[in-house]
Amino acid sequence: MFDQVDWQQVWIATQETLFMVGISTFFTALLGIPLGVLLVITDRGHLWENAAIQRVLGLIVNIFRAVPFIVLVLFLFPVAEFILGTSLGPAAATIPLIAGAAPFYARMVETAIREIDRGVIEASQAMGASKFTIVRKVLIPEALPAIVSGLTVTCVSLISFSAMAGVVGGGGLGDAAFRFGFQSFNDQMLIVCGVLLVVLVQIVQGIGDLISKRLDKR
Amino acid sequence: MIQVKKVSKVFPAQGKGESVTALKDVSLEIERGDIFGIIGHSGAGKSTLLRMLNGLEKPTTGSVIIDGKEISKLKDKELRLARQKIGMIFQHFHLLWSRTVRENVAFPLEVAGVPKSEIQRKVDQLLERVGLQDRADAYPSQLSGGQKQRVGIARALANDPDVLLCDEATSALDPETTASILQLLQEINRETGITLVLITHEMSVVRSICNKIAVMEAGEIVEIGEVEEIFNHAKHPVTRKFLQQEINEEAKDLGKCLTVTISKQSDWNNLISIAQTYQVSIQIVGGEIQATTDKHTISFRLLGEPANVNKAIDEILSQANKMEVIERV
Ligand SMILES: Nc1ncnc2c1ncn2[C@@H]1O[C@H](COP(=O)(O)OP(=O)(O)O)[C@@H](O)[C@H]1O
Ligand SMILES: [Mg+2]
Repeated sequence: MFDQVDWQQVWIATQETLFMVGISTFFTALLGIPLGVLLVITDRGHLWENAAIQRVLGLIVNIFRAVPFIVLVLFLFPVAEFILGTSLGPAAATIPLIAGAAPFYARMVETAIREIDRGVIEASQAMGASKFTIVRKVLIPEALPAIVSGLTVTCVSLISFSAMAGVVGGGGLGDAAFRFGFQSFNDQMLIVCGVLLVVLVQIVQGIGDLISKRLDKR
Repeated sequence: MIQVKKVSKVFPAQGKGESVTALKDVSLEIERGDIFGIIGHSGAGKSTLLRMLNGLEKPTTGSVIIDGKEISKLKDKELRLARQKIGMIFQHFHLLWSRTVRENVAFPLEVAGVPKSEIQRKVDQLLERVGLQDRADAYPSQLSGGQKQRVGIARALANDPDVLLCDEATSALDPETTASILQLLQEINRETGITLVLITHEMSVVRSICNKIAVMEAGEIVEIGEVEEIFNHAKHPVTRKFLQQEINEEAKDLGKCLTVTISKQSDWNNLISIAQTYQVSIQIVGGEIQATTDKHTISFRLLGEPANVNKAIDEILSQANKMEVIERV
């Protein structure tokens, strides 16, 4: 039935997508979680009150959130070139993906951590815990269910963004759907790549929900 | 043991609001092994005062000294070490949702850098002490309020503190659970000689376990001393009000009860004749004599046939012009 599908190409495209999404999700978490924590604890009357840092970080996050993703991609080509030596391929595409997703995710982490009862933080201080201990053993574990569900949402957006980034040179399922499907008048290829993206989203959402639910002890 | 010297606290104005003076020139001394009660209405400054004792709040002026160390002057690291020896429990427990009972109690030990094997042993011991050994692997969300507070107590005692601060520790609990938590605190005080400082707005809590008491109002200590002394010779109106409130609370438990003001002997005779008419007896549950105004309040309940009791109460209420009925419960 799918006689016009080049499964070899589909497989390569799938691997590229998984690579882009995997790497960019990882770095989004790596940047977004500390950024989100900092946005909270530098707040007035919080663990590490620091108006200057708070303002600068808030500004950076908002700028990156305001810039449309496609502009970010074009804008960050030279950055990818500088870091990776190339502005093409899945690796290069991760740079704008991370830049686009990390600030969004940082805000989600911020919200998750703000949900924690101030009394719990105060109780930890009363037990003699240091700021670092409070972040590591109180703020992050207590907010973990929301941090994970935020990452799930972010990962799903990264899948759809990666399809876009793919078209401008990143490869992956989005690129395959566009070039080998749409542009080559190969509907079957278009459908297969589209369905695979949907399946990927479903799997990510399912696993994310499961983990988040497991972690939630409230 | 604990000395609070001329402490004032002003919270600076935020935005358009005015600055708040939460404490005004407060001084007090707490001795080792005391169970020291601080009573006052909401907003009187009790929590602010308590939080001074472990440095969660810094005095604007004055000093707080515990065991010779001036808490209000300690540097970050020293303060954290000092706090490990000052336990604290809260009205809303403030446990970590993400940790089991065992892990919650282990938290302060982890903070203090106690080795793992030792933590295990110590946590078992603490859980047994508060009677929660069989709930060790439950999460706080699976516990009742009383159990949560027991976890809070075990956690607060983990590093063998010299002082335990209790901020309305029983205010979210029902009377029975309150009694059991107070009993636990008292036992721990007797066993370990730990100094307890507890905040409450209920005189019954003070009566059941405290040996000393400070009454606070609008950021000031208005009365302070031994519990017996204060209970028998309360001078300040706020203290009296708290005592009266306790009587009313108790009366509630006893059934139909009235509190009336009596100013003349004839009022009293009148009361007795009503009781005789309806064949009920008067059981006095409390009272207060005010030498200055000649107005005495007594709280009593009427015992007898329910129908007669109701008629007698109606009769007394109808004579409210003679006897001022303050409260009908
Ligand atoms: N962090 C704060 N900032 C501003 N005002 C505060 C702060 N903490 C307490 N207050 C004010 O100080 C007063 C005393 O509060 P508190 O000590 O909590 O009273 P209590 O525990 O007796 O109810 C209140 O008027 C309260 O609004
Ligand atoms: Mg309070």
